[in-house]
Amino acid sequence: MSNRMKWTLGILVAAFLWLTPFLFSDFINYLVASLLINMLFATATWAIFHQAGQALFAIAVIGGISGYVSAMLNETINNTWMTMAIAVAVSCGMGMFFYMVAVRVRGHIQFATLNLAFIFVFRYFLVAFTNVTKGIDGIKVKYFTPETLFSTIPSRYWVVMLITVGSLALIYWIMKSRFGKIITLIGRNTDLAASVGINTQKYLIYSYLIFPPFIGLAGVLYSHFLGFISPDTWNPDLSLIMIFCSLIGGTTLFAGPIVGAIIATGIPLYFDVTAEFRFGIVGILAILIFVFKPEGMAGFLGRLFRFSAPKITRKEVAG
Amino acid sequence: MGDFLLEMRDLTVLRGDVWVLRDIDLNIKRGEVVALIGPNGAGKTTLFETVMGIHKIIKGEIRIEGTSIRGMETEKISRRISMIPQEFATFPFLTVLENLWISQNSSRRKVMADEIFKIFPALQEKIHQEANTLSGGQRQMLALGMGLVRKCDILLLDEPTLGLSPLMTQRILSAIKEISARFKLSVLISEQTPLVLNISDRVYVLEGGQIRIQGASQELKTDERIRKVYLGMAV
Amino acid sequence: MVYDILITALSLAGIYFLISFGVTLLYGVGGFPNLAIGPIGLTGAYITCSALRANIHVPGCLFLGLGGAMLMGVFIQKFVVEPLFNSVGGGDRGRIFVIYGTFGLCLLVPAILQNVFKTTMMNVRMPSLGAYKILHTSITGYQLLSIGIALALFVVPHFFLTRTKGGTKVRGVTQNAFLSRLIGVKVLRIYAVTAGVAAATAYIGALLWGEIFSLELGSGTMFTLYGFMISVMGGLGSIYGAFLVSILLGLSTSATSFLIGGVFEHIITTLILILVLIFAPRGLVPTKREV
Repeated sequence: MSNRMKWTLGILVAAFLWLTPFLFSDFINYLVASLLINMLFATATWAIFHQAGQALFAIAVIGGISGYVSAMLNETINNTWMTMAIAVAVSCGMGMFFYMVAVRVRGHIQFATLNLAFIFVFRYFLVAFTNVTKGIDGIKVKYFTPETLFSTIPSRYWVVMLITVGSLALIYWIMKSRFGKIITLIGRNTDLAASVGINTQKYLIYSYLIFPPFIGLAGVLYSHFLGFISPDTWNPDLSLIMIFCSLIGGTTLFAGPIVGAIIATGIPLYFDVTAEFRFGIVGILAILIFVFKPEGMAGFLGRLFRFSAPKITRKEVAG
Repeated sequence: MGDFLLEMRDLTVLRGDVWVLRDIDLNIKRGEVVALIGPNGAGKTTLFETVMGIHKIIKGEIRIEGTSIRGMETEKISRRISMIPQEFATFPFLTVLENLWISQNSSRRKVMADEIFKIFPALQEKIHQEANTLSGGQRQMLALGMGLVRKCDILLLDEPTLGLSPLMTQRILSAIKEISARFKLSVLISEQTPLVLNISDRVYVLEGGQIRIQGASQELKTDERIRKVYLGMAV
Repeated sequence: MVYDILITALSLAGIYFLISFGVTLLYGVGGFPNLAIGPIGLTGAYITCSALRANIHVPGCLFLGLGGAMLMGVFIQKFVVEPLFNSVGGGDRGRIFVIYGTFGLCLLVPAILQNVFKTTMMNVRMPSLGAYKILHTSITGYQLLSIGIALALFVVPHFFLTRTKGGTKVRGVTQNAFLSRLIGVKVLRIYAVTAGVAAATAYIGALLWGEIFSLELGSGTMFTLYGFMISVMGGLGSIYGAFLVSILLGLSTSATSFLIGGVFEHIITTLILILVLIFAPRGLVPTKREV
């Protein structure tokens, strides 16, 4: 892809994002903001799951705990920015916790199963401790402070847009750096990485410190943007959809989870598809795309418009 | 195609974009021991697996006593041909008896009375031991035994002495020669060691997926090309 | 009360074992982590319940449900699991892709069931099998049935796998599928039969769960996840391990239900499972999976 084309595409996207509040209705603003949050979820998940090769299914737990921490702290500390920062720090701690669990169990399937168990426990806690979490009814969450400034959807859209775009740019920069390349190598072949002298444990620790906070940030943005948080959102389906976003979009490209999030979450949201069918659509899409287009939609579209490198096979996708 | 027991004519196999076997002509008579030698990556294992129906044939034919087996399922081919793979040639957590029992289509009592224990008496002593507790040589004997109890006409042995000591290699190869003579079996054996030329009647040299040299083992044993390139012996 | 807890524990253990048996069997025999097993069982149960509602006689309803589940299980094995597994050359990577594909089905099947059966919940209305007094406690016929079937599923496979030639061949397939093909074992047929048996046990488990508790669209995913957790914590592919963990799970669920109740029983049960896996990562009875 030529630089000119890259710049043109970048300007178009930037223009769309900046002008959305002025040109479109609240519904579109809400849709685009939700989509941006899902993109952040999906991209952070892609980085740790598909690139670093860690079976961290407990995305829902990290996002949910961060969202609830920020929501509950906001009741006493009337400063969303501070509570968000605390919640992101908490998700960093959760990342380390999951790293220690991963080191202890030493097996992808065992670690994935533990993650799923944690999602179940988390949901049960949310439902059980109703005096704190309000149980299945959920909590009304304050918008960003000052609330008078951010009471409208377009105003909250700006916050979400700036934070998510900045975060995505940061993840991109990290993955393009030497650190990102090493993480990708470790994800593809841990033994090979170790045999060339890379301290794989050190880099894995860093991955668990760096990427879960982005997941936590997405959870926090979600709760403050919507003004509501409940246990319904934080279930195994969320984790799987975020993982599937990369399968749909393509696991080897940075654009993969972004394109995947648009297809898997944006389109069903726009057409107001019910949750059951949304999950069903994502499920069947993931299978079909994996079977027929293993490079994902981003890879396929990239080749179609000559944006990216030659075709990748399923074995290369698998690493 | 002549009166050979096993025949391959123009055999060609493609895997992905790579020609792994090209225009292979190879045949074995009844009771013959034929050696297949060549460097790593020549296609020896692929050839064996193709005969067993694992890989798709692009061109050519494989026949057993004149009948084509191209496109036949592995399970059906295994009734006429017994292949001992290079690695993982036994079921590690089954006993010696169980390994032999499931290879043969009869009762446990018949297995225990099989002639295989006359050739490999060490197996009888360890009959109730799991295969992964056997030594390398004993495991190879078990693998050969599993091939024999199937009572097939043709044995394909893929590097049966890989990883064995020189003494054990000698013993295994002698046993193979004895088995072929006693049971009138045709054996196609792939090997890296030059000792295989002592027990084989004919030899084919495979390189880059193609047969480069073929002939009587005794004649080719002293051929400079074989000695220098394929057997690593000083000229 | 102790007897109440014990009897409830045993019947729950039976159902948990039934639900996890399919996952354990499929992983044990072929190394396939088929997560669609829960929705497969659920589909069969939904078919049976719909047939019961339509006043078809009970054996016919059971036949339809069992047949539907088994057909679905074999179909998914042949057209989803095996192609996904083989597409990246098998091994651990193949298993990851089977997980993706079959969990995609976990998301898809509830949507289809809702569209076909026009309901999110299904009441299982099987004829009563009565109630009995055991150890001063009342136990329903279905609770007894779940214990009986679970025991049979534990004893019969053990006998089959260790005493019969067919069972020894199956053990051979679990250890070395390639060699099994070379000695004439119809490996793909074994996988298909295993998928059918796994689907049948998932169906029975789902039906008994629905009879004792209730069935809804999300039950399929729940069965899969519980089945997987029990299987992993027992030792992936180990029927003995899954049996042990099912008993542990039944006891903890029953005890916490009687002593504490509510959603806390699920919390404590899941926490126990987590602790088991952290302290015994390979499971309580690790299996020997070679190739």
